[in-house]
Amino acid sequence: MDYEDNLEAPVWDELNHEEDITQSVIPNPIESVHEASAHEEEEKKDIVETKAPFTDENSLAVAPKWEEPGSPMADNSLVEEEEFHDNSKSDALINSLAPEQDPISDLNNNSTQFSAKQSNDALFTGNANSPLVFDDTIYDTNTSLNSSSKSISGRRSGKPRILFDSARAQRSSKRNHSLKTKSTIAFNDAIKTPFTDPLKKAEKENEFVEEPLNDEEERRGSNEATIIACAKKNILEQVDRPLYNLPQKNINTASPIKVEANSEMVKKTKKESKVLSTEKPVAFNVEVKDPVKVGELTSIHVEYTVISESPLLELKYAQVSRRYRDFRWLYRQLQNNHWGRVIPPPPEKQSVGSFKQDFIENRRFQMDTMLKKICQDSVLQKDKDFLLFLTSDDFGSESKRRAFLTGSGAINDSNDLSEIRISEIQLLGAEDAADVLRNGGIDAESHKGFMNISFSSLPRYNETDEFFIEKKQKMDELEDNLKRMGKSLEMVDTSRNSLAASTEEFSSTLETLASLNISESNSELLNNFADVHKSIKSSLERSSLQETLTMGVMLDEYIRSLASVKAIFNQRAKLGYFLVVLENDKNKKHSQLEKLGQDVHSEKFKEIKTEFLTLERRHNLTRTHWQEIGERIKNEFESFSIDKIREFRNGMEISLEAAIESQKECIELWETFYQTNL
Amino acid sequence: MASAVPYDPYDDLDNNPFAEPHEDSEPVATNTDDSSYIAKEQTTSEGAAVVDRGNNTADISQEDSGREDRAAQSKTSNEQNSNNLSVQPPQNVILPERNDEKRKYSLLVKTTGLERFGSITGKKENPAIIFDCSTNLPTFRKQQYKNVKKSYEEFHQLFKYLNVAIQESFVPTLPPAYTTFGINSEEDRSKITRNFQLWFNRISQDPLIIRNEEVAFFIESDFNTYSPINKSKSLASGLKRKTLKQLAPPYDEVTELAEFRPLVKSIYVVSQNLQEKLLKVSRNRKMMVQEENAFGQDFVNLDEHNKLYKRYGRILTAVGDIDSIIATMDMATLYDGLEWVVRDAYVVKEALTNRHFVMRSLIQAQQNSKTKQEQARRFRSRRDINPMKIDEALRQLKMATKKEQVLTLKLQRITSNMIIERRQWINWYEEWIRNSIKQFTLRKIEYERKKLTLLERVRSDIRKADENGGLSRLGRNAVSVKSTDTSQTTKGDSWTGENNRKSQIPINKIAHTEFDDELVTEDDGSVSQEFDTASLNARHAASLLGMSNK
Repeated sequence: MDYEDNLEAPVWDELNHEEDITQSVIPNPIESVHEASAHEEEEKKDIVETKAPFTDENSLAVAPKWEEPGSPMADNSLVEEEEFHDNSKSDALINSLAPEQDPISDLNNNSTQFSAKQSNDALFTGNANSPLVFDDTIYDTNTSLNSSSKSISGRRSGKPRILFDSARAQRSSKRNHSLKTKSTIAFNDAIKTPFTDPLKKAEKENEFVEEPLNDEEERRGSNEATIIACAKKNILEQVDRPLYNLPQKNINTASPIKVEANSEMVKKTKKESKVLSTEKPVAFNVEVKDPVKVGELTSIHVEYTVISESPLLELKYAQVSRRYRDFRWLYRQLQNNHWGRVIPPPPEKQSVGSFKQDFIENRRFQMDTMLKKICQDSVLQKDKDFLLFLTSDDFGSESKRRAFLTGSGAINDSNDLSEIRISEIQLLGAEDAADVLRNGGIDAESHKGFMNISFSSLPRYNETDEFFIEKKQKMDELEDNLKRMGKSLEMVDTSRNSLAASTEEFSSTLETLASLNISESNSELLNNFADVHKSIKSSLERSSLQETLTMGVMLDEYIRSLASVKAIFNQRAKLGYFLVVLENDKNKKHSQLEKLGQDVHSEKFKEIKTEFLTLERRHNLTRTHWQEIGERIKNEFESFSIDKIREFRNGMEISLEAAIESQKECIELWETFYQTNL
Repeated sequence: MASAVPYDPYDDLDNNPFAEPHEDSEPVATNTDDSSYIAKEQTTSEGAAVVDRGNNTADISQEDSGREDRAAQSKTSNEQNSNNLSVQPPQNVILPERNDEKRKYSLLVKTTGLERFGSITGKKENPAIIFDCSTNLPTFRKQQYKNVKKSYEEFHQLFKYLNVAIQESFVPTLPPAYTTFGINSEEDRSKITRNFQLWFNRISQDPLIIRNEEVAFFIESDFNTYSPINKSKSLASGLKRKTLKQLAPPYDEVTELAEFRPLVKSIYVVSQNLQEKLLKVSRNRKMMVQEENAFGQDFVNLDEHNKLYKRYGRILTAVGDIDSIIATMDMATLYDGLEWVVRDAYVVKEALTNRHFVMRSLIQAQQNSKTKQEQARRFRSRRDINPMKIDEALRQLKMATKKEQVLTLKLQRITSNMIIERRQWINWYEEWIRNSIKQFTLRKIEYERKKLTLLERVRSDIRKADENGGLSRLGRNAVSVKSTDTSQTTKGDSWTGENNRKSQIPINKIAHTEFDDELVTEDDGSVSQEFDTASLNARHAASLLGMSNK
């Protein structure tokens, strides 16, 4: 079967060969250090030895040999198998890294516990499926070490950080970030698990984490000596540490919530460092205004003027007119271009009463918000389609062309905001996608051999990552709650308005009573009383409007954003589904290949071989995408939640302040009335 | 006439024309030919005596004029129908009770308590009012009465009797038996007690009413045993009254009263309308409360781990509850206040209608006496006269004249008394409306302030969550982070320039709402925790918030 591996190799190289090399380069020096520094050298060697074959296997991708023990058709068992291997792999990895901590393990007995935890973490197993696993795990541990040490050592001295950065210079910064946040999550997961004193442990971990870097720094010298020196240094550092670490530790012991808060702090600092490194969005001004009714009878619609101003635009300034449909197009197009990114959502479709003035104004406002948000995103603002949207004079045809080119299905989209479409073009590249589309899409291919009748149960995608299952459920819950809130807010609004109306009636009846002129003072009193009620009424109306403008708009925005978030979750699910389908197909092909294994030179074999390879390629591509999207979603989701919560809190504050103000006004009205009349 | 017996001795002793109304009111009430005839005899016989007695207390000049007027009036009444009103005898003659400047007779009542007992409806509709009474009226056997207990039903009986029996007065209606506060509340108790005190005050201001012996019977009778001893019948009731009301009101010389009825009617109608509208406002407010509560609840449910949302939601709910209290207070102050106005306006209106009836029957009586006179004149011109017939005609003429005289006098009494009472009633109305509005406003201020307190209480929590968010972006850093910071202090309201200092008591009242316990007990644990973290670092709250939500 050797030739198979040889054949596969180029496919794999195509994907990310360069990365592979760099990644495999880096672990080695570390390992050598480990070996040298290890107390139990034999053990170490074993680990390194076991590691080596794994690396090989990985670079060769999935070898048929592996699959033979299990049933080749059952992909689940396969996955499990892989997982198993990967687990052991990561275990081995961590063990190999662990010795670095050994010199000071007598100072801390938690470290092993922690590393064990890490190896069991869901995140790692989630990644385990990928061919990149090996590198990832190494990166992961490394970056986690790095980032956490950064957060601490960054304050003290820039030295280890600089060293680290130079070592990582070849890597793309983007990748680094995603990994970093992932490790952050891992950290938090580890911290969140109920331990007697989880944060202290985490703190300790941080302390140790720093050590390897120092180690790295000095490992060019003699190994044993450096390690001892390091240990000494570390002890010294620990002596210093309490000076600034103590307050946090105190907090940790107080309550579990605080631990959470603290870890949140850690996360924050990391986030900040990340934000610093990402490029700042370019100044971008966008405005949606002047809705105008255009067309007659059947083609009647509202057009909005979109004015934009930015150095990113060719002419620095653009003014175009767009309709609602175009905003939908933009949403879909951006969604397609940036998988796993939360796209600021357009307003929901509404067919009835879409020409009422306040509806149009509301929609204009929502679209304005959407564009403004896109502008504030450093990635989205540079999107070609976004710029096209802002500048194109012949938007109708150009948008169609773009939608066709990207296969985004963005034209005449009227689906729910959370529904998505995965473009085969984006997924597999133009030529292959054309092939796939000719055959009726990715999932159609799975049934091809069965005359479109599937005997086996339809392949189903089961989300493996806890994160997504949990978040999805939470999101559904949140959406329900928000919708309910939106409804009750509406009800509050209606009842407040009817209260205002009846207050006005009351006030006018009071005036009637006053007009009876029973006596002058009485009439005056009643008239003033009526006036107060009128003021109260207008105050009520104002506060009701205010509430709709703050809370209402915010809730609406939140709900639509959730739909957008759901969309990216769906993207992952869809990709996962494709993955399963492709894996199924691939396995089928593989078993066919097995059967034909005897006459390697027959035409049939070659044909199936190429088919298998295409599927393999598709599978790998999908898997990469699937993983990337997973990473990005986690990343996005976190910042999304924080943003949203901030926004929500702001909305709460504004509406509370408004309520307080109107309350003051109300009191003032009554006080004045009381003082002047009673 | 049985009623005349008990106060005869007083009559002699006091030499006061106090007996007059009693004798007068009796026949008026019955209004049958028989009794009116007898009554007429009485009045005519005692008429002079009344004048004399009246003169004993009044000036000599008045005595003369009174006598002249009276004579003139009796003469003219035979000739002209409407003349009687133009020539008004002085008030002290027609209304001797009003003549009592030194307030010789007084009735002082002090309500001390309220008791609700019996079945649920009984509790609500028929409370017992307890009061002390001191008086020097001759109709009473004692001067002091302690802890008199009377049920609402008995009060109602008395009112019904008085309303019919004393046509000269606008008899004050009873205040409602219960308030919107709810029958079990302390506020309801004090309010009802106060209202009855007000009612007694109004009753005792009216000399005609306190001199009525039924008042004495009422107070002297045992609890739950009173029913009117004298029987009275209204001028017209039921269908007859309805039909009579359809007729155009007779010409009224006294413009004050002629205009008063439509005015009172408008007050009655508009007040009812106002009540309706207020009820609607109140209902709408309660609806809003429901929605507010639901909204608050949604906030609480939004995220089970998020204390800020919970707290905010709970505050919103509490604010809603305060709104509900406001709705109740609106009803209890203004609606109940208007209720009394409506009832009273109705009685006043009907009393004025009765006056119209009296006017009309006077016109009839005048016509009647005129025809009788004509008859008598015809007899005189004829030769062949049957003495029997002459006797009969003379008797009839005499009767008709006397009836006319009685009615004239009665109308005069009614008119002059109503002119006085009209002013009083308008004053009462003004005062009462003013008072109701005042109560309304005070309650409103109190609860709106409580609402503000509640809202401000959560403000710092929200601010703590993110010190760089929200209004701070608008440069509103002035709002301090301290949770104790409120805009309502003893130094006055922070948002006004006016500096009307308040004492600590109302501030304390405002600063604590009915829902404080609820708010504290429900999240006592979390609050302290939250407070700890917040005090350590305001930023923790933000991270807390971010952490616990997702």
